[in-house]
Amino acid sequence: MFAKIQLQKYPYITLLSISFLVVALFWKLEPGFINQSTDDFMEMSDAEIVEDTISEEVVSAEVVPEWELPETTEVTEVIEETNEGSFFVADRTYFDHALFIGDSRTVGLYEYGDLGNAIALADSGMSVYKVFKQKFELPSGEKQTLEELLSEEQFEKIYIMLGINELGYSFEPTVVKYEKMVERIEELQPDAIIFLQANLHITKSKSGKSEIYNNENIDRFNREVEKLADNKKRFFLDANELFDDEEGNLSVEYTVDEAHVLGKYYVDWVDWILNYAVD
Amino acid sequence: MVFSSFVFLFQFLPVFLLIYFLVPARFKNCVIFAGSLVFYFYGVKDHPAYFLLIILSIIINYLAAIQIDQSSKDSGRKFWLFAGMFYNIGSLFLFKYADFFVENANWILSQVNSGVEFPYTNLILPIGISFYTFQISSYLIDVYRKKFPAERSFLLLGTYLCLFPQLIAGPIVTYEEVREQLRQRTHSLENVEEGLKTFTIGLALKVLIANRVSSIWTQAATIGYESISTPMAWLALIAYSLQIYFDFYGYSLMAKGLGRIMGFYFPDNFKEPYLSKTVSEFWRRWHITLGSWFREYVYIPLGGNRSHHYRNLFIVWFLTGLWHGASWNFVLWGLLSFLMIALEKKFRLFSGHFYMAAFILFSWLLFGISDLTQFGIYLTKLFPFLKAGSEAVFKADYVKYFSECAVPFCAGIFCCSDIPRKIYEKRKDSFLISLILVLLFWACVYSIYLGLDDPFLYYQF
Repeated sequence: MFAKIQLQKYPYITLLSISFLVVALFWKLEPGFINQSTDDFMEMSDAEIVEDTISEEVVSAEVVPEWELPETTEVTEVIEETNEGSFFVADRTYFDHALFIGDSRTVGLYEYGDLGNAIALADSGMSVYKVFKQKFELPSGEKQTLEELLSEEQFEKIYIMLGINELGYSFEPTVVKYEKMVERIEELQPDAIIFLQANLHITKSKSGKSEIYNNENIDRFNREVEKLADNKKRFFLDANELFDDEEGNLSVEYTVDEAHVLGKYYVDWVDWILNYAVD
Repeated sequence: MVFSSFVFLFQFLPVFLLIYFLVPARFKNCVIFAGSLVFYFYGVKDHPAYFLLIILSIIINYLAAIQIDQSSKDSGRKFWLFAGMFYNIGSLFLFKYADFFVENANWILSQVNSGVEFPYTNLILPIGISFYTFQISSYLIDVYRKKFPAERSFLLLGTYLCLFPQLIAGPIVTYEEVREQLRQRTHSLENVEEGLKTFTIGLALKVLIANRVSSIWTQAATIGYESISTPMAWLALIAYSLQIYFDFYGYSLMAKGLGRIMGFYFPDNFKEPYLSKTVSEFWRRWHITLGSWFREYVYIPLGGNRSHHYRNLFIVWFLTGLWHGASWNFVLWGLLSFLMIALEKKFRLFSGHFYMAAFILFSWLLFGISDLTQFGIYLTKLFPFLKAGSEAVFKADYVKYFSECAVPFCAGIFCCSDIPRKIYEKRKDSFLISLILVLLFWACVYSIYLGLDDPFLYYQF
């Protein structure tokens, strides 16, 4: 019966069916494609990356428990005291030889906060997994990878704010990857002061809606970032105090999309960063 | 479950259609009813009570219509009509407008220092309630008007109301339009071919144009209207006008296409509205089924243009605004249409594409910004001479956001004209058009896969 149907009379049904077959064959190599939601998609890329991370960094991963040793409050206090002596308030010229690396929040700092003559290698969705792979457009219009830029030009200060896009990935490999990134940057920029910035919180309601992107996980990651600071060459900056409500969530008055502060507040943020200048 | 999702495209729809075409003709409506209930249940699975709400709506209107039919006295018919409508309008009011009412009542009470305050219901809007309430109300009123007898088959009435292609976002199909099709319709490969094509065009308009350009408008809000440049303000507003149109038009086309696959002919909901030269014309070409509903069930019963013409127009546009959302900006948006239509009727000076472009952009601005203070700020961005010293920090913002979606933006502008439709209608049976549509279909799939289709799914910082 079907043989009698003139397929040329129904070109769309015919072509669509053929295309389905072709796609089905093509995706046979990667089954499950069709059922994926965005979350699965995140996890799939996660799995890939985690695999290659682990294979090269098994040793570092085993070191993880050591970082997790509880720090005594005394030690923290001592560090804070030494901190206060070394920070001073600077103006925008402090950014003359500064580099900012980060995700959309850093894009916001660059576009709306006035970073003086600083360069920003930042993009929406940036993560520690992508930061060495992606090419960034420089103010000159040239496109370079982070590695290329750091090999060519020496910076005095490097500000890094990454970690929130990585929350969908496994936690510990991400921490390891973050530390490796900092170490690599230090290798290429031995004289630079590195500012590790805490990831900004999101609002309470947005935080409550996600198992992954919530303030608990943001804080958990920020604490790991803080541990990397030595207060000699690496400093930890946490701007959340600027925009948090009493419960430690991004206060709703500063945001519309519940994850980014409004354009006009980036200036306050940059002013705040300049309170923590180091020589 | 939105049509532009994998769960609909690759799970629900294929399984549904397979069963639908395999079962004998007499069971096809059962399959639609059951499938539509599954479709709706999936959409309200976080609030299962809302599933019962739509069932309740069918039961009450089914019974009320039969009572209307069987009442010999006019008073009895009226009683059942009012009883049914009381439930329909009442449930819509409770779920959609109660908190808006409470908010305004509390504001008035606080102005007179009464010390009384009503509590909020905090109800979440059940999906599709605005659409299905209007559909079932039209059924009840038409039975009262003796356009057709009350439907004795619960299955058919349920199938009509839940019909998944048009359940969530229209078009608002009246029972009269599908009554006979529900009983008898042809199933043919030609219908499937046409339906699939229409569906694909709708999908492409939604996924490849509406969803892509929507990011400009969202970004403008994320940045804050205070901080955007004037070109960005214009760009975002045009993008928003494209988004609203193609989102809605795309959805209506998908509904029409899905209906056609099953042998239904749904009415057109849009006819190149942005080419209109007057606001009256615009509303004959924009969301046509809603306009007809208000004309048929509000405007004409009030007296139409024969008595109290402007009062009737005012009521219709006030309600049209309110139907779009429980907020004053929607009411103002509706009344803006009223104002312009009234002026057009009085003076006949207002006409032309330039006038309409201004109207369309301005009206969507009112539609899109619920906070009137923010609306004012946006106006000063569109017209910087209104307020000195509001220069943008990031002056090239519009270049950045335009370059991110230049192609869908330009395609959107092009698709506002009647050229694509004319080309399509001339060549739709050609191999080339089919090939293009297949490519568009997979481009949509790829876009959904990347998460580009839904700014809320595309969770990136």
